[in-house]
Amino acid sequence: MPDELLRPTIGAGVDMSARPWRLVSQTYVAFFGGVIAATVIAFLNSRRLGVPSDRRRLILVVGAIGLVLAAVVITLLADETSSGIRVAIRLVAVLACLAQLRIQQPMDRAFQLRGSEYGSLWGPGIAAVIGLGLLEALLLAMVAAL
Amino acid sequence: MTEPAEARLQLAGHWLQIGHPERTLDELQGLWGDAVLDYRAYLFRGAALHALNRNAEAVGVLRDGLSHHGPFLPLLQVLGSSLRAEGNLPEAEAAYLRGLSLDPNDPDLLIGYAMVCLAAGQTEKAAALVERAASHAPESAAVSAARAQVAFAQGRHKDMHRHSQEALSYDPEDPGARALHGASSMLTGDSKSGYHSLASAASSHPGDRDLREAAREAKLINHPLLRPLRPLQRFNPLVVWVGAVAVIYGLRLAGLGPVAAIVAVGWFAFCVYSWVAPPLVRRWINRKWGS
Amino acid sequence: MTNDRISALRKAVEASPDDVLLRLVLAETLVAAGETEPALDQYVVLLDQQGLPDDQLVVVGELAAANGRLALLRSCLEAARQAGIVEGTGRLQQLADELIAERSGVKIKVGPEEDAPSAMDTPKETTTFDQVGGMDEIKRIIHRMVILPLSRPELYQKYGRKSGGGVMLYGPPGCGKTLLARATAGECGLPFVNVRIEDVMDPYLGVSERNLHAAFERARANAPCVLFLDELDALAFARHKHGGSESRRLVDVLLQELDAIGSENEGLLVLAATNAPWDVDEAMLRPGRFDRVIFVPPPDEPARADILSVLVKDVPSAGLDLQALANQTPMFSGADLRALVERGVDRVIDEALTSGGEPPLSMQQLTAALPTVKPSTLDWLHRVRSYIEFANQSERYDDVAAYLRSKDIRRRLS
Repeated sequence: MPDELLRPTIGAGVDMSARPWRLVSQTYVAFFGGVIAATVIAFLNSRRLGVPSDRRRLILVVGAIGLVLAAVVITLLADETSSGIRVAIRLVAVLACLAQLRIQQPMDRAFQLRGSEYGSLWGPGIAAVIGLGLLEALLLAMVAAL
Repeated sequence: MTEPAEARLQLAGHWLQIGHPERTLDELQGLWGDAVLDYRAYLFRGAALHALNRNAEAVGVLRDGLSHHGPFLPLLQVLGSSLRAEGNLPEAEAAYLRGLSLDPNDPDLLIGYAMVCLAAGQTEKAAALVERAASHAPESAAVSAARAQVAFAQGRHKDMHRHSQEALSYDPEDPGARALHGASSMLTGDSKSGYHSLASAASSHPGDRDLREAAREAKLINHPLLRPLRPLQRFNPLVVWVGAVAVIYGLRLAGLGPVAAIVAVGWFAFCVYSWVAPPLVRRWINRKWGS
Repeated sequence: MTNDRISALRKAVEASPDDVLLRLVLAETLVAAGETEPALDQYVVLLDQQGLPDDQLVVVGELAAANGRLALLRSCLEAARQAGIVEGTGRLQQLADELIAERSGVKIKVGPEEDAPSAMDTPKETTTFDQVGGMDEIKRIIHRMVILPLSRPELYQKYGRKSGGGVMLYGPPGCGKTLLARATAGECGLPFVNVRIEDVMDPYLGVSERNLHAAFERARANAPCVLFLDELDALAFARHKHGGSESRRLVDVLLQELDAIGSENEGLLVLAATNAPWDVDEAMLRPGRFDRVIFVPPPDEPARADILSVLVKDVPSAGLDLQALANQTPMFSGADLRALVERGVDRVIDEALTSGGEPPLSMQQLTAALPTVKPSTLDWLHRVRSYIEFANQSERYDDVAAYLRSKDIRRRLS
């Protein structure tokens, strides 16, 4: 009697030596660095966690949508105060990050159940915030100038 | 089997049950003759090696035992667990499926397989497996603990809390159940009982660094100076930020500019406090205990 | 006619195997008809299905004993114990023992019914504190908490207290707890009865408990004396470590024996040692049992020098400055020092094999071996620190807490 539940479905093992980053730390990257920085960090972390490839692609898609939304926001709010624009763009980045964290959650929880140690996001995080944050600022400025 | 050999095997089992796996290995070293091929010798040695985290050796011993004795459920159970600890999930799955082909309703095997699925991120399948185990062993601490872990993996914190409470009610002394209860209490905002449970689990397993860290974090959060930071503990900080932004801009749009400004300043102070206060309080609390 | 009835019942039972009442009637009918073997078979199934009523357990057990069915007898005994039946279980246990004895040819000590072991069995212990190097602080503590009370029993009696009682030594492994216990007995001039866990544990049901009881009886017969339980955490393990009801019995027996000490035995001093105080059942540490708890720290410098001198006694050596070596090995346990000497001897042998001579062990090899040996006590101290940080222990572990807080140790542990 074939049993649907008891069929092998697991394709790959997990790398026990990987040191992913905490999800909470990624929120800072999104807050200070914007959509591109958050997406890159989330994508790298999902690789470390062993997230399946289709969901990894979803992270990139969410990031792309977020970037487009940020561009839309900056064109719509062209006449607002600069701080208002910054808050709006940050809001987009935060929402995109929340979605990307949601995608990483099952494997992150699986990692926590294993009881291994997280890695530190300081180095890559600051690099992403500065480098990719600047890139995003430039891109959005170009869009705004159009 | 001779009596001394039987006595040795029983003593090895006893050491394993009270958590001294090194003594188990010592006892088993002294076996000779037929006793070495007894399934219990393989099972205890494999389980002891697994308990000591020497999983590669455990896998070798258990596979040996299986080749001698055929598919024997306890051996497959420990083999699956060892393979999962190594990260070799496909083979862990194979071991559990082999056992389940003999007894599709064995609760321990089902729960073990569910843990493998959780490690692979397949949470719905794990939930279904645990439910099937529950239908065959409804009132068991192991099933409730497994349900709590599935709920944790799926981010359902309230359910995790409920299941961990059930697990504790079946076995109030089990440190694993205490740890789950402590974690779920922290996630649902009840940090007092969360600390109580985590401290109890940490003192039962004093060598476990994760439990100690978790207990210390709980003690930190319970400190009166850090009470204002509780919302950040329960909710994602980003969500809290979105809420603050919504409030501030909502006030501005409603024309209450000055109020909005006050709220904004308060929010800024709150952020600074959340950065500065925890490390200081942590240092103060742990001044007696070092790192 | 009875046969018809029996075959009818059998058919009915086959038709509905889960009906315990039916099976019970079948079993009783078989017994009445004198067919005990088949009846006992039915009783085995009934026990499995938990369909045997409590008042029948002893009767069935005795029937099983009469027919030599040890497994069934044991199951009945187990079920009776769990049901809380008091009368008759003793008799069942006795029957079980007799069956075991005739099967295995092993004589089981039965306890008080036997002749009491003669008091000449155990001579007085000869090791004294002088023979244990260093560790002055701990010797003082033991003297104050253990030896002094024993020497003035009338003082205790005046205030209505019993002297004797229990003392638990705890500390990192390999730091001389057993030796200290032995020396304490020597200081008091008492015989030393060592009860090791291998001597107590036995695979057969109920024998471990009897062995433990016999050990206590032996000590009582030799009273006043010192009874030493090594690895207390293996005998009296905490509830969370092993939930099964069967092995808890050993813990219960130990609790009973300790409680009996006050009334039945004057002057029986029970010492215990453990490497894992966090795994000892809480009930053991209540007043009247192991109410005195002493931390045995890693050996201090004079103790280490003493241990080293014993270790190198039989090894040809030259120019060894044991004081300096002791100075360079802080926090080393006795086992660590032995490992150090072994590594040094390995190097000497290597040299001997390559150079052809037979050089003596020198400081050079030992200091070269020093970096390869890490003290095993640090891990234990981390554990105990975690334990007292989170356990609700009041003053019981104050001495080890003070030890951990000392600047030197704090530095080493971080």
